[in-house]
This record gives sequence, structure tokens and C-alpha cells, in this order.
Amino acid sequence: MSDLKGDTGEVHMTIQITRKETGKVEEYELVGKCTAEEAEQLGIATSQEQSNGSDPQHSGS
Amino acid sequence: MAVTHSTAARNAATDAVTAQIGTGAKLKFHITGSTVGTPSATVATLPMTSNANGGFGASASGTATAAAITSDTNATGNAGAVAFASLQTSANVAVVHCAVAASASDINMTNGLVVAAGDTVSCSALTYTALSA
Repeated sequence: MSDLKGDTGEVHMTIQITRKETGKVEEYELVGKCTAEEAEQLGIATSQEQSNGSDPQHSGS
Repeated sequence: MAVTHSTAARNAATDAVTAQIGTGAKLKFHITGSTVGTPSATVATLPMTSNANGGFGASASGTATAAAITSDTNATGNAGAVAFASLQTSANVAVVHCAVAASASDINMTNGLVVAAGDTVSCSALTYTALSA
């Protein structure tokens, strides 16, 4: 029996964050995957990034 | 072999979802631990253009493009990184919910995308695709 999987939904967005403290504008392109499997994969990566205790301020493109 | 759909079917699927979002829709960002049934703490809330399709235009080639999105000029913020985004109805019911990550490797996401209280969060472009093929 073949392993059938549904296709994924996707959200693409470009966001800008203007930092209150510095006035600096950071731009990010985000991709959202609307499946539990891919969300879990991305969630694991994101939580690993959160474990880094260095300065939360970071530069954007 | 992947399941594929006609363009008409893809458009119908995308439009059906955006119609579910409806008028007064909001784009919200959340920290980790969020689900479509129970979104986690909201980091920022951006009102979508209020139309019957959740702030989106009609789907073309399976993808709906959002109209103008109002910035959150005083974000709630959170020490936790942004991990999820949701498109919610005016009654704060999540219709689309997804984990988010940077699509470009040259963006430094080592510490995660953290939004501080009082930051302004804007969204200049947003597209939604229900069926990518």
C-alpha cells in the first residue's frame, strides 16, 4: 500500500519590525507550513534557536 | 506520487478558507506551544483589510494575496521567540495556523525572532495557498 500524504498549505509573508528602543527597522521573510508534520519540524528548530542565551537583538535584511 | 489538483480546484480551496476567516480578520503572531485550537500568547496583532475573504483578494493560480494590513504600532511583545502565526476571525477564532521560520538563510535567526513590547510590527506582503499543487 502506498503511503499517501495530503499536500501542504503555505503562508508566505514579509514583515518589518521597528524597534522601539533604537528605531531600527528589521525585515524578515517568513514561511509558514500548515501541516502538523512540518510545523513540528519547524517548531523543533525554533525551540532550539531559543536555547541560545545571547542578545536577542539581531539584524535583519 | 503527489496528489495534484486543477487550478480551479486550488482556487476553490483557497477561497473557501479565506471566506471562513471573513470580515474583521486579524494576523497574529504567537510564541511556541501554539495550536489552531488553542493559540499561545499573542506577540502582535495586525488587522487585515476588512472584506468577506479575510482581507484577501480572490485566489489566482491557487494563491490569495492579502490587501493592506494595518501595523501593530505597540506590540504586546514577549521574551519568547515568534514561532507561530495565525489568521483569525473577528471573534478571535484561528482559521489558518502555522509554524513560521525564516525563508532566507542570510537572516540571523540564531536567537529566534523576538518582538519586544512597544515595537511596531508591520506586514508588507502576505499570501496564502491552500493546495500548493
